[in-house]
Amino acid sequence: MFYFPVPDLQPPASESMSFPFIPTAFERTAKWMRRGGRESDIALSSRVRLARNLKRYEFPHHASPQELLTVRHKTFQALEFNQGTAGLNEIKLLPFEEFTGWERQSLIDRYLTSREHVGEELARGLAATPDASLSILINEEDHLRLQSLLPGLQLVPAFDLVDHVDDALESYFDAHGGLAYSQEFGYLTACPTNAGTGMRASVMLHLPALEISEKIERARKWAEGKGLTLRGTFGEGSKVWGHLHQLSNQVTLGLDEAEILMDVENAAQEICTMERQARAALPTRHSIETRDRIGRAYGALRYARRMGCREATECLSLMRLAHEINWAKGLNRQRFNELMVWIRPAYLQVMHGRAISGTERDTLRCELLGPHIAKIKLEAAFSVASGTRPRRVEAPEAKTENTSDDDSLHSKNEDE
Amino acid sequence: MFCESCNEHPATVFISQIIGNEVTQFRLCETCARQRAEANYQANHNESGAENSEASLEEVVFGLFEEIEHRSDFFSRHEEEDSDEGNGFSMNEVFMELQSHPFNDDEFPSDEELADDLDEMDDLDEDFDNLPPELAAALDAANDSADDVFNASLDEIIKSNPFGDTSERREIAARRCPKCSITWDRLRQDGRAGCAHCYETFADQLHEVMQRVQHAPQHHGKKPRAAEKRRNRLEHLRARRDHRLEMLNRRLDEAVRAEKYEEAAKLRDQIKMVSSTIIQEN
Repeated sequence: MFYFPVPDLQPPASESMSFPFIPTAFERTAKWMRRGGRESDIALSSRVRLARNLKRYEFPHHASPQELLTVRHKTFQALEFNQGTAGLNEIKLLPFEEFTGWERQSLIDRYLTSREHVGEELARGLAATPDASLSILINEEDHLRLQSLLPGLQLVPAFDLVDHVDDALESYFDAHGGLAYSQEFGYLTACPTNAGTGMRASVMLHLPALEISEKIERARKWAEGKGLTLRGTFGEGSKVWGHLHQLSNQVTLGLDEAEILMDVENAAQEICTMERQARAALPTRHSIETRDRIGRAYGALRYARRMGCREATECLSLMRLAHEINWAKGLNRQRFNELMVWIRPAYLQVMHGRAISGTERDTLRCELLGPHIAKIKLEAAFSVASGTRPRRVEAPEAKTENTSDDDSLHSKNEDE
Repeated sequence: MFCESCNEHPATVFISQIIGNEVTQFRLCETCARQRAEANYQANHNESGAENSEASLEEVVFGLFEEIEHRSDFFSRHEEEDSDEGNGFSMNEVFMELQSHPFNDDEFPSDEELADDLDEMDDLDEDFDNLPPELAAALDAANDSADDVFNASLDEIIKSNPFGDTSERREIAARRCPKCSITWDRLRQDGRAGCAHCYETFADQLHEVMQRVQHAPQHHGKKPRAAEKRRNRLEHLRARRDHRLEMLNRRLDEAVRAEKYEEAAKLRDQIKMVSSTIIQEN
């Protein structure tokens, strides 16, 4: 199977404490892909991110490379020192200089980091557990960004996870100048929009029914009224791929952490209810459109030999919807979560081991999807069209003069 | 020069009457001119019901007075409603308006918008060039009297706006963070602070920013334990100092009552020393 690393590829020689090769650093199935949390039919994952900075050094945008290297070195030391703390015992340290562009890019595919972070390799790094439930971005926009990623809707456990790590690191850094904090502005961050709690809590929501029934704008405006944003996940600047939306808080200062978490969780719950209602109405209200879209998606996935990432993501999303409204069966939620990441270009590249072109990737994608899609069976409910059936159109009467038995395109009569 | 008719008040109304080739000039003070106009107007209209083919001088003057009064009413009325619209706009006010948005670049008017504003003001001036001379003169007169009212309100605006004072504005523009040496302008452009110390250097401006962008400009929520420990220690020290002051004051009173003035003097010095120590976080 091609998605295990090619045997003759050697990991780079590095020091003892876990600077591993990225494909071996992470498990194929991350924690957030598995079962857990509430509302798993719509809420795919919950993430809490805390931004922290060291007081002694300038923020990454302004700091010199030496400063950034010192920050990363100190952070790695802090993590080694705290190995015994909850969640940190399995943590792996990944300095970016040791990895190729594709490997760094694959971290984005796993929902771990952002494009700005992997663009630069000097003095940047990532520390993460193999199941990706806990990770620390080093020298992205701030010195440290601690984040936890859990399945379903469970923001409070996600916060607890990251809270403990924050406490552990804070007590280490107290001896090295302390964290940047002020009475008035709370935890100080590079961007003032993150200051205060430094916390961004987000939930990834799968909202195909709201998109099909065109109610997504209403949901977005409702969220904005609550001080939250509803944006696309992949692709920066709110481009929506695969009907995946991310709901997160906008305000970080002036409210305490519990309040922010409660706001986001309640709003996510509400949007899940909206989506469920829309899904229930799909078979009747948007019968033809939904069936058309799902049918095309199924056909493409089943029979195509090459497919781009965007198209594959959309098709998988629709098959997922089909499963949720009982028009198809064969795969479970975990498999959909896994496939969503496994088809992404950098992930494919890294797992394959050697450099491949875009077309090769497209072919590989279909090869990867093949065996899984073969397990899908469309249910009877999908084929039955409800609602008004179009009137049968009478076929025109066949003219007897010019018909011939041979109905081919190439006419034998020259006079024709 | 004095009014022709009363010779008491200075002449302020100068009328040149040109009929055919004949030019006559009158110099009158306002009161006399008005009186004369009224009297003659009454006389003319009482005599004959029909209109005179030539409007008499007095009628013209009276009509002009009426117009002037109407115009000045117009200005004083509109001055109260909106003082920053129309031709009451000064360049100073434009700059203050621009300065009062410290952070959000979206709200900062672009160069095109600024140019449009200035072009609009130029257009207004053009219209004013084409007025009949009496009306223009009347408007100028009205403007002069309204200026005093306007200048007073401008002073008020300058005093209330913290960035209104030019020297303070220059100081803020020149201020640099001692650690990373960025200016407020740079911070605003990048949308990012340079270091933790920037929050102290630009505390006022950031306070305003937070007020607009965040829920409240004061942090509630998790505090790092070291900061909390330090603050608890400060509270503790302050409480101890206050307690000591109380005790010293009590002893001072006792000493004064017991007429032990030397001791009282010593205590007073001690009190002065203790109360001059300031306990704050570094």
